[in-house]
Amino acid sequence: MSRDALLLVLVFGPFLAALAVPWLGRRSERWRDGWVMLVTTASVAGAARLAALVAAGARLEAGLPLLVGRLEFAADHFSALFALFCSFLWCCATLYSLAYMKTQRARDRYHAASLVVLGAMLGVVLAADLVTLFLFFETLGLVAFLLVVHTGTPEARQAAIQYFWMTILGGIALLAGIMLVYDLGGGSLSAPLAGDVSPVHRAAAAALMVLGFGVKAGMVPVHFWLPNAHPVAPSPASALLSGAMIKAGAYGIFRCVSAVFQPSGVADPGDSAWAFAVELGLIVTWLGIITMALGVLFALGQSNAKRMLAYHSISQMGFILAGLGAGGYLLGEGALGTAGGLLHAVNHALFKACLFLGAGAVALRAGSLDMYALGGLWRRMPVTFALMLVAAAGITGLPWFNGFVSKSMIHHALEAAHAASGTGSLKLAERIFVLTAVGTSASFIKLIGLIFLRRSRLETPESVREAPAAMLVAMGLLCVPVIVLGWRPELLLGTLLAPGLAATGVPVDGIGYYLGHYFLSAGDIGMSLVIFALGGVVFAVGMRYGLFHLHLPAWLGIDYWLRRAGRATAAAFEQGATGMRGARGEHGAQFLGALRGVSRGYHRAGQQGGGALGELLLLVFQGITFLYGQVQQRVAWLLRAVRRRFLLGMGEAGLARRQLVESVLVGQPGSPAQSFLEAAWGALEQDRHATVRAVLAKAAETPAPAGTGAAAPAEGRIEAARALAGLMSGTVFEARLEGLSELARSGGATAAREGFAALHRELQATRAAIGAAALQLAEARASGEDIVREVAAVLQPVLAREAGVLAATATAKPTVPTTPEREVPLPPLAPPRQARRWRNAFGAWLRDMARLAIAELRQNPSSWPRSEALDTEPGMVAARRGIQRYARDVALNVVAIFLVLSLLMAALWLGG
Amino acid sequence: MQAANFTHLLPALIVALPLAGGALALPLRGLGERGRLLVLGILCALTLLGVLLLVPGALAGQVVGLRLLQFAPGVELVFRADAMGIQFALTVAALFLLALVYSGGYIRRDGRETRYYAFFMLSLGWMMGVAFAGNLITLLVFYELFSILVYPLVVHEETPEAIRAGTKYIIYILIGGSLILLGVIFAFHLAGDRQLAPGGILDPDTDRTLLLVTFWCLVAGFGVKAAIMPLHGWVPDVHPAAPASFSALLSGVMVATGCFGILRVVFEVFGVELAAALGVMPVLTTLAAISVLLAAILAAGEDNLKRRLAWSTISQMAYVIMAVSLLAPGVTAGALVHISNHAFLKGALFFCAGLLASHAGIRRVSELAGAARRMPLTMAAFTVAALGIVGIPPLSGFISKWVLGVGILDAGQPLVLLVLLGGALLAALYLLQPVWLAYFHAPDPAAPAPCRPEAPVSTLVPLLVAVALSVFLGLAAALPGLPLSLAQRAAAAFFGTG
Repeated sequence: MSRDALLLVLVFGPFLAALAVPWLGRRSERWRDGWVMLVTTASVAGAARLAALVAAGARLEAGLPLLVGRLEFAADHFSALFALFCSFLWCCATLYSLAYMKTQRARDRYHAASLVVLGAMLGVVLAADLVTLFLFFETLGLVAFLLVVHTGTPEARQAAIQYFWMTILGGIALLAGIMLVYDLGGGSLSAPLAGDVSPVHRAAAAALMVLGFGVKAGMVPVHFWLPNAHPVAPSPASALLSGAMIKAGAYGIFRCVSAVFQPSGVADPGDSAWAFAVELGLIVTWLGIITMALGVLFALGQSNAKRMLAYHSISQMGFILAGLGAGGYLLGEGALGTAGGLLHAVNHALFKACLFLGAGAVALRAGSLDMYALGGLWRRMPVTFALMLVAAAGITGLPWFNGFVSKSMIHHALEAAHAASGTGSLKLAERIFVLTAVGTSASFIKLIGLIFLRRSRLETPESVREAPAAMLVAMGLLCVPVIVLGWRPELLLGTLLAPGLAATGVPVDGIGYYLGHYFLSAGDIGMSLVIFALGGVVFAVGMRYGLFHLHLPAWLGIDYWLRRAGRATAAAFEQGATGMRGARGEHGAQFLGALRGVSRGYHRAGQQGGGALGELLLLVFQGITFLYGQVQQRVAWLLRAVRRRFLLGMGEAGLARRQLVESVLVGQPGSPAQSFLEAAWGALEQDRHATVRAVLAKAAETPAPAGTGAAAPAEGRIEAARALAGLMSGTVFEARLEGLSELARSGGATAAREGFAALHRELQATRAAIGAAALQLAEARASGEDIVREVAAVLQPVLAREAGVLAATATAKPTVPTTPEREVPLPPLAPPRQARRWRNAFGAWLRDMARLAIAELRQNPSSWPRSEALDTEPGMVAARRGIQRYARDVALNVVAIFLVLSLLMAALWLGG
Repeated sequence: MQAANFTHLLPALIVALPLAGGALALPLRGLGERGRLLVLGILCALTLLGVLLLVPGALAGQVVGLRLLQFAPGVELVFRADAMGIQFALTVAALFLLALVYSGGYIRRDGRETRYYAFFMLSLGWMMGVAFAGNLITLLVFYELFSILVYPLVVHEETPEAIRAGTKYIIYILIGGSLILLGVIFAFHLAGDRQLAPGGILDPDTDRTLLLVTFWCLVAGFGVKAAIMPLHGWVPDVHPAAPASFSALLSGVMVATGCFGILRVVFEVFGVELAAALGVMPVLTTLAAISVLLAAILAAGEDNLKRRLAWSTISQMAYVIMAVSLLAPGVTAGALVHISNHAFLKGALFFCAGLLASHAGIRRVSELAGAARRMPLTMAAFTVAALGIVGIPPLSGFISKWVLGVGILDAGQPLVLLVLLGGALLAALYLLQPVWLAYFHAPDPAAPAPCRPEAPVSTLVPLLVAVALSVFLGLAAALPGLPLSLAQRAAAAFFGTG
């Protein structure tokens, strides 16, 4: 029990420990540093204990009832191996970072993120099923984002964004693959898929999973984020990214090839599942070969040391994949390849971490990472130089260093695969392998030679001195296993790798045979020395003729195209948004504007060399735009026609019906006088509009008086007339309303009605007076004169006359009902008779709703202010107000109804 | 015996409690703002407790029924608490409780708050009625009540935009409601007053045209609320206009009510076999798939934060419709659980948007630069909720994505899986961009200095609780009694496997 709990402690311990980091960091940096060292050291101790237990033959299992079902953890030999070297790496990198990070900001965030990533990494390698693995894999990828972006420089941010999207895309591919595997009945890492599943599904699942893991592993062709993201992180984080985190991808591919898609039992190449496993192995081998070759090719052309190391990470991942793939391809005989691949994963973690840490030390002291600018540092930084020399020897594969063992194992596996396949293609793979090894040698001769050995071009400042002791200790710790594993590879091969493979049913005689016959045999050593010598030649020739400054054209890389497409899409979206904002009015116009903008954006990107993708999208968008443009015009025309007809039809019944609706459906609030006033308000408001319109029309008709035309241009004059008319009619309107209210207060609705009838006869005269005055005064106003007195003089008699009329009705109290003029009907005092009202009201209501629906559908918020202004037609305004009031009143009515209902219910209940 | 009687009455009690709260909001003014909120909160919590009491029975497969009231022979109000209804009611009640607490710190005391609280509690009651509706009439009655009576909440701010948005809302909803009424009349004509039941109430041998008309009337009617793409117009306008506490509910549970109605229609009015035989499901799948992708693209192009979230709701709720239309058990459970998970995630996002607008004046995504320094807690919550919507494990969004994805493959539709994952990718595009801006861009130097606490505690607490719930619903998804178990129970009932 307690042994199984070790798994949970290993995985969740760092997560919990990370919670304390910000808290401790705020109190004391020393306490926090001590805490992270304690946690990482404890992880190493835990992983070592785990490895010892597993090597002794125990299989640890634990689970937590979380997420979908359970999170299952288990430790077999491979898990223990990965857990061991990862936690060791973390311990060294953390020790290094204590000194290194002193120059950096946000140290708490760095340490917390680092611990979380450690926990996630251990979670990945200790997961027993794919959901658990995915959970930690995603956590790892997303939290490592914080490490990549840590320095916050523009390059770091750009690289981090690219890293983020690749992680998300990879995660989605992986999730799809895992879902497919679950659908096929798999999911556990120890129980492979059944053999009788749909081959298409299985192939799709394998492809998606290899792609998803491959993104993290830096596999070509989804590698391009890696050389951007790894160097921009702080050096200890680069070491972790390149040393450990990309191994999460390799681990995933290893589990795919050797567990999920390889059936258990005795190999039977005739069976479809076994045949698929063989094919998958072959594909992964070739992916590895291509990855290693391209990685090294790009690495040779770099001048930034960390960038070069990042490209070598890609290349070395290629070695690992080739080994794993060959192992999968050879099935029963593949132990050598699989073991070689896994051993190389360990080895690469050790020496690549050491190299990144060394590069970090150089950058810290010399302030540059440009290999061509540095030089002669071996005098100033002798320990760093010695340690980097060891690590470089490891990665170059010199005998008695660890890289030699794993590389020659993979080489033998490739030869065996070639022999087994009997075709020439794998011979080619083996040749590429050798050439890549030559390139690697050349590249590291260049690194060591340019930075440390050659005479410095520039005067090295005095400040360049040996790195702090903690950093040297961390690098030294990493170099120890580089040498030890070079002498005694059986320490890992015999305890963890071979028994682990044996436990999965793979015969491991090949490993023993290798250790007995090939390890440090003259042939292998000779070959490695020849490769090294060739590397030296390549370096010399390259430096002599400046070959290392040759770069492949950018368009050969996928990232070039993706970046192009991304930039074009961004530009297109931008243009689309602009187009959308630019087009006011209807939905259609906006949509069209957006489409036009998008195609313009793509077009522009295409002109700048956006390439085929941009052009293609441009064509598609233009097609859509064209088609939509055709349809849109017709639809708009149709809608306009319908609307016109509709409004014409509505015009006649308009006001009377609407008042019917208001009186029946909404109900008239307040007293009859109040509702009469409201109706009168509508009628007077209409009159006010009519006055202004009449003045406008007249002002537009009358030509400007000769001689003053230049002083007051026509527009100014018209505008002034409109403003004047508005002012005057507004004043009159208010006075009228006030008078009517006064009447209603004193004499009730009847009096108000009579007053209105009287007033109604005066409308025409007032309108004429205001119109004449406005036109007359417009000239003066347009030229800026003060005309307040004139306006008052015009208004005075009008107001007096109307007030007189109203007063007369109030005193005379005539009983003769007046007939209103046709133009503005008098509002009815009482609702009309019951018989007709429902049908009429409902019909009118339906029409109003339909009208508003159409109006609403054709507008959208950006054009609201404008359309609000357009909707001055009394019909529209009244209907909108009606609807809003309807909604409000319905709400209250329904609440009342509900209360009555609930009372009724209670009564029914009580009554039995 | 006594206990059984009590359970029997629970649905009616659950509906009545918040309605009583709505009626009490006005008389309770005397207690003061805090006192009233406390009473309303207690009523809300009691409602939630009542729903929780129903959960064990639902897990055991019991269905509680209650005949409430007869309008006319054959037209009666019937309550019925099945697993799907209980899961929905649980989500709704929990989110309403959170939103109520949030409102306490968010809604200004300007004399309109009484109206707000009254209609707030009423709408909880109506939604409980929708969740527990036992026949189409009851569903219609409560659905219409709640749809129309949230109008005062939509126009609460009474700004011109709010009034406009309210008009748009009411027009859309009335048209949708009329379609549902038509559909219910057709269904009544075809099947009489039968109660909703898994397997459907319609006779498969009736005229196919009539069945089709019924189906499309009901689906289009509920589709207006569920914002399936051609019927979505009100969503992006109403959300920014409504107060944030209500937008959270609007996005979290009200749009989901449309999906809930469609689920009821597909599985309990038509039934799986009849729905499959009608051959309309591929059309629905296509519409929903278009909604998922198009709405997500539009969200990516939107600058107004609340509108962006509204588009995201359209996209996310289309997952549910898409899943339902595949007519397979696994994916149906996924659809149901997605309703619950999305509710809390989107609720949290709208809570954040409200705080950003009211305390930092940030209404647009482009103004978010450096917001994390001014409102660290809010932005942390926003980040977690955004990651949840994207579907990053171990948050609850991952659970829905996982159950949906495995279910989709189980239904044999790998193309739909592409839409699901494409939607998730686009969600990352439109939701993580604000996060990036908030954390990794320098704030505007003219921006005011951060103040502490960044927002009233009563708004931060529900926000953090919603986020915590999202983490909890992800980590402990398999715990019995949580949405996943109820959803699986409901799906099993629909497909006759449990």
